[in-house]
Amino acid sequence: MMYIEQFAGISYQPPFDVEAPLHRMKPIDNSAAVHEADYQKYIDAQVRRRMSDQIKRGVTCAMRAVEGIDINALHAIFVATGLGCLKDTQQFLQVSLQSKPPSPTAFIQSTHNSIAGQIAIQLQCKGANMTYSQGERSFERAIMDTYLEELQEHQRVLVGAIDERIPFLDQAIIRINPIDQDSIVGAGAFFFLLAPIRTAQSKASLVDCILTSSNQVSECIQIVHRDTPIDLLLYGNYCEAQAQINQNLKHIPSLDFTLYSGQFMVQSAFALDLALKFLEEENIQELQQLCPTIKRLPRRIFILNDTPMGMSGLIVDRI
Amino acid sequence: MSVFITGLGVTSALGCSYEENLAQLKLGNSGLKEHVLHDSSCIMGCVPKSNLEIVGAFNLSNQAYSRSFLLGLCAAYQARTSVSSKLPSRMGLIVGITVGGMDLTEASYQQYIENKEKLDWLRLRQHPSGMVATQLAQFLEDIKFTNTISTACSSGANAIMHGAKLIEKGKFDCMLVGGVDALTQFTIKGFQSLMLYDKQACKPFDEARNGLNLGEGSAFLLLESERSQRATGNKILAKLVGWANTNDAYHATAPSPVGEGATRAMSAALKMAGIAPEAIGYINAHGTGTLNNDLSESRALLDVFSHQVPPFSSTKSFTGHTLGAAGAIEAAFCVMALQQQQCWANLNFTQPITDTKLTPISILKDAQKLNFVLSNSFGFGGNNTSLVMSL
Repeated sequence: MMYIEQFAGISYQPPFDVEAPLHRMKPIDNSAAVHEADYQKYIDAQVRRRMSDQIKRGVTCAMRAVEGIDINALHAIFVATGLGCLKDTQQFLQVSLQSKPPSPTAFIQSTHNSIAGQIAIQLQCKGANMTYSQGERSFERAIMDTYLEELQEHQRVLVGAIDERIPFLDQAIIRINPIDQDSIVGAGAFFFLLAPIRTAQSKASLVDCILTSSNQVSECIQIVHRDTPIDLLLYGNYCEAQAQINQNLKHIPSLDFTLYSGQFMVQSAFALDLALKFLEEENIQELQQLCPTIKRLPRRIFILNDTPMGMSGLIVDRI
Repeated sequence: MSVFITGLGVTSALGCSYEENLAQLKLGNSGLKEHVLHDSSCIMGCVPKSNLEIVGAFNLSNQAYSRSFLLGLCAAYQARTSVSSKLPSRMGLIVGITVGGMDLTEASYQQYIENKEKLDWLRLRQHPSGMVATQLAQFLEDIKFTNTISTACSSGANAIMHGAKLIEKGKFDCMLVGGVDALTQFTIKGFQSLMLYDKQACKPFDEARNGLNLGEGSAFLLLESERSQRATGNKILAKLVGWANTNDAYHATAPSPVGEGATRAMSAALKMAGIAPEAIGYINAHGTGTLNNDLSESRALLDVFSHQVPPFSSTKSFTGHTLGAAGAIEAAFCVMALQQQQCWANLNFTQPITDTKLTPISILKDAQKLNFVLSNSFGFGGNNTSLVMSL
């Protein structure tokens, strides 16, 4: 069990610093663009100028997620990314293949761990610094690593996930995954400050991270449901989830979060950010706008991510 | 809880097996040579096997594979089959890698630039860094868990560290851990653009050093818990007794000039191993041959070992800098050092760095009693990892 104290996300939905975030959420269409945050509030102008958009997003969310804490207590930074810094990768690839003398900036920023590295610099966090890149499981791998850390009560871990969208990726996905013709490619950065114990700052508890190689959605949900009832199911629909939920799990209020996030490798981090917003909202009507069948403020939210690698689940409980 | 290393597989410019790599290390023969990769001609460490040869050797189906996967397969298969016993049913795989299937991506992207209609998009499926682990798990069959760590040049060492942690915490009894990267124009041009690529063979820790040479390869270690090793009876090649990862929080690419993060990584790994610095009998340094790394690492060595630095060398003078594979290949070389009771040479060394005056071992050295060795891997993003291994 870990406790989430602070969080921040940047996605196609309004960023972290708006009032009534759930009220402002809208399903996306193909014209979706990332709602950038006010980066100048967080990153010094000189540093910001050299940073890619993706690194700005990551650094800003990270800074927001650790706001006000004693940085010496930040034990580690764990970042997940499915595809790394695509824009810089493409830019450096283009120039290097055309034999022009390339500038190193894009190469430096193309490295997967340039985000975690920049966060370490901006936060002056000298502890462990990892970047996980295991496809659709990347974020869950980062979370699982925090469970391995033997944290002292005062120590915190910053866990995040980040991926970006470039036009070339859109073209590639349409051709590589013909079943995904209608899906919209997602993007964003999401960071969470995790603590080993419950404190006055705890916003929710991250009860467990479940991974299975099967796509038997209802079986998995029923196991979780039997233990403590699930009040809200946030699911990322890859192929099986929706049909199975419609068939067997109509009684659980549910929401396909990818309608708001798009589909991308670390989409479950968007869902965790959304789950926390649901738990923060005290007005049931705000929740019902997104999920009409929900009848009470949720105590337990189950995030189910149905991916080509199998299913993953995150159980999030109200404090 | 002990973490035993019972299996090993290595593929580098020195050869495609444990034996071939060991033989060249003993002979002091570098694998660095002038090669041409597309329009780049420079000194690099190529694995002496073509993709076709590897595809043939493993009877793979007739499709394009990324060279990263193929090199990884050579090493992972060796490590997996170097132990005879049946392993526990739950085995995990962790791969350290930097650029994934970039070799296929850049070939595809070249087509895209020339004529979009000709592009074989399906090849791009192998671009994500996590794909090598996914493909290896499919081929090796008994893998129940995969993870990929991408922390630039310390990726391989971090994959080993992460696997050791999973065993130490009792999550797995057996882990196949290592690193891989293939040579690509992307990385060669990248280091050239940073003015870090030596036109000649690299000279780690030499006053006249002028950068690194890239190499390619892969190494995998089979890690077992005590419980697993008792059940399998596999021979213990070495133990992994200490590990640590720190961050400089200093600069995107350059290390802290005083080797601050490196000092902390080495000290923490020694502390975890429960040994005094003087117990270390050999250090396989990160030693890329760049001006910054070697100076900063030298200062960190002086700091940790209080000016009594044990015999050390950079075997990148044999293999080139293999990026995501480096930490794993060098951990494998450390296991070989313990097994052979020998310390590997640091080739091309003539004159110590003026500031630090450290002299690496320049020829093969027989050790009196080599019980503990240290392997350093540092990377972009200020990432520092040290591993301590023992007999």
